[in-house]
Amino acid sequence: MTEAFIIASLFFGMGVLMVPLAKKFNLGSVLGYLIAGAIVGILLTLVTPLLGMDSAHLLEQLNHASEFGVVLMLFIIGLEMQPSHLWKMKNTILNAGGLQVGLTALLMMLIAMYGFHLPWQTGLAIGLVLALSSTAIIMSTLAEKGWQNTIGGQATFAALLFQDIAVIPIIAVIPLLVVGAPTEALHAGHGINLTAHLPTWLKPLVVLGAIVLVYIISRYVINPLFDYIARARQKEIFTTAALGLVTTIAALMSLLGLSPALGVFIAGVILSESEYRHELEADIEPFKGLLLGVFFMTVGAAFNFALFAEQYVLIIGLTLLLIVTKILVLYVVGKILKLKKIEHALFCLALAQGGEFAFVLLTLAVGQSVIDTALADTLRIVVALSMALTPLLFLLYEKVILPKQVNSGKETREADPINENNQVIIAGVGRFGQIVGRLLQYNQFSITALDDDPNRIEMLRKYGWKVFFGDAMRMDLLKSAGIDQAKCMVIAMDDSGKVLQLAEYLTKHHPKLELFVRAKDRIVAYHLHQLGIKHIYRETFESSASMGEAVLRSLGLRAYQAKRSKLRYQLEDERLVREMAKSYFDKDEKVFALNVQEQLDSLGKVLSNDQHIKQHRLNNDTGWDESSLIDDLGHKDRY
Amino acid sequence: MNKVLVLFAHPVFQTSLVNKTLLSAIPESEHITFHDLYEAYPNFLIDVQHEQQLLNDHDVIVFQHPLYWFSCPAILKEWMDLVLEHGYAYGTEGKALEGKIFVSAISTGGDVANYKGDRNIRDLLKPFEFTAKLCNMPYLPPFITYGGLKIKAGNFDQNLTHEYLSLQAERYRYLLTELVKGTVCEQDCEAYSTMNQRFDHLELQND
Repeated sequence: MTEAFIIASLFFGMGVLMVPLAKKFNLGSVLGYLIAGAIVGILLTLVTPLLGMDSAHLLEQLNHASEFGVVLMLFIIGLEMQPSHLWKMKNTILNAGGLQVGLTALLMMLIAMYGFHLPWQTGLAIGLVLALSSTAIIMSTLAEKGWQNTIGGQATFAALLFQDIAVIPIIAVIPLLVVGAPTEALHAGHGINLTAHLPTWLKPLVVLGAIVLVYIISRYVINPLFDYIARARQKEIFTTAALGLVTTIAALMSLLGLSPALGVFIAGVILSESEYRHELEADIEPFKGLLLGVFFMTVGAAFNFALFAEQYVLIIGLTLLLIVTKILVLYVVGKILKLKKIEHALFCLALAQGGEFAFVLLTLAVGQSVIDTALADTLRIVVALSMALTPLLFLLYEKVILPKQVNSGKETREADPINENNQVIIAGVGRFGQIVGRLLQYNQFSITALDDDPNRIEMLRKYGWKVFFGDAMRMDLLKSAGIDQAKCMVIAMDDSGKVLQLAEYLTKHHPKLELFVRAKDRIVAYHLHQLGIKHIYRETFESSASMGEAVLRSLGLRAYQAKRSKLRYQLEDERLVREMAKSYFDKDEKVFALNVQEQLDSLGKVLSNDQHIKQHRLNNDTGWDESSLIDDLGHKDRY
Repeated sequence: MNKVLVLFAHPVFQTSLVNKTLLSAIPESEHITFHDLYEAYPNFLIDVQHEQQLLNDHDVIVFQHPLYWFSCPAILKEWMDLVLEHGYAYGTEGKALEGKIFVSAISTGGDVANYKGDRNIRDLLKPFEFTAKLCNMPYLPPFITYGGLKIKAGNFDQNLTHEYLSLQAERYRYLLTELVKGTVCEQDCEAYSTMNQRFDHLELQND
């Protein structure tokens, strides 16, 4: 147990150290994990002999555990693929992905066969393994740069989607590529196999049966089961059930001698139309992230540095060969897809590396004796190296190709400078800030928005919004959003704590900036008043008052009477908030107490004030009320 | 048959006995459109296109409102500012309202006695008359219902009040019917400073 803790701490510690560092240098988290793993690998070879442990054995065990991460990843990929959505994209996916994977695999196979004299089976396996690119690196980079919705980004995404799906048949095909006689290694990876002794003709039927079974489970058992669990309102049990579902299907598939990844992928696709899709995804995502991280680190730890030192000329040569071959194929595919210059360049450079699936598939291929261990070790280093070079290719695109194309005058769509220096910055463009932004744009004001929901950002960017991804609490982000030049700042995030924090920070450090702040409720409004904010908007105040106005109309009040009553009520209530804000902070010194009793106290004050208004007939427009005039008139005939 | 549009503006209609009575006198007719401005635009966000279309679709425009500070309630002023725009209602190109009849139906707080001499009601309403002229609209003498305050104060004898209000209602109904039929024109009214005088005269003849 002690050893396990030591190793886990090493891995986690290194991961925590390296991943943020890698992100900082624009290298992406996958690379961070690989580097962290490589460092742990070196440390382990130094430390374990001292502790009397066998580092290779430990790593192998860890690797098995972390392969579960890959299974979870495939489940989530399945979940994200709604059949209906896939069907809409089918042409792009087939054209971009099919051509890319097919041509790359073929070319690689030919190189392996004629350049390195390998048997065709091994060549094909290598070709298929290397044809895949790194979804993790590419998608996160595209999202970071805001390129997902450019035509080039879309084509890249389509190719990646095809690759993700293609992994499944590749996993199925690799065991068939055994060189020479099949060995016991066929099911070495899975241990127990119930179908091993079945006649060959029966196996496809068993496979079909298993898939039908997975379909039936996903379709008819999962929803009622989750309904039942959801009613118990126990978050952990739901998570347990989600993980249990994945392990059950994976186990079933393993028992039948099939790839567990294939099984959970199918289950994922079937469940992608289920109402529990987002729940499942959210529950499994953290485990996937953690285990995938560990998986990448074990891959890193298994790097054979001795081998690299020995063959660095060959390895670097092969890496360049891989990248150049991929770029060539992508160039041809891009031509066939009729991509324009900038889009074409992005497509070629983005997809030009090996992917994380290569590590999975290489492990599988070694297990099935399709590729020998030494070759697989070399290829692992080549793939990792090509992934490490990807950020450089993106940099080449961003700093050299993009500016050049933009300066030549045409196709300037995505060439907006990052700092627009808009007069208005909106922090949080969810259901609240979005409306503010739309009204401003309706009036031809361009705005800069900050938000931390990638899906929302994607949608808004599609419609020409300038949205920065990230937490508005980050000063560097505020700076690059142009906080120093802005005139107005709208603070409309969902999280009241963040709203108050940001409002406080900005009143202190940017006193000239005019702040418009969303307040979730009265108490938040008190705090904002305390900060001296002038423009405070309680989020439900306007719409519920408007609803009250509409109800008044239904009850027979004249439209204008109802309108004025509503406006007066609002003014009075706002006055009351200002007044109560003062006493709220005078009363005692606790600053962030938002407890129920205080909410109730404050409601009580509001209601008694309403009674005061009713009693003193403050709800009247006395200018139009002739009663005093009539009194004045008396019985004289003066008027 | 003329199409008649009654543009009604009263911010506190719920308190006005006079205007309730007058509104109930408006005949149910496919030729008469009733349009309540405060009810339609409590936000004062007047739909100019819609309003101009309404004007285009009618031949007679009746402006029914109380007299506030010798003028109309705020929304009607806003309506005039926005709807009677240059190029539509007036100006070399602005001929949309040419020939359509302009007539005011006014309720006042004060008595008839309060609108004599230098406070002559016809003179007080000059701004509306000039507006009509600028829009090339024939202007009929205003139809006035006096004494709103006294009616409210109950200063009149109940019977008298009832009698006065039903007379006014009947005259308003008659006026609107005439307007639909097109049996009243600017020339016929030249002799009268108010529509009330014309009715007094007509009723005298009938008696």
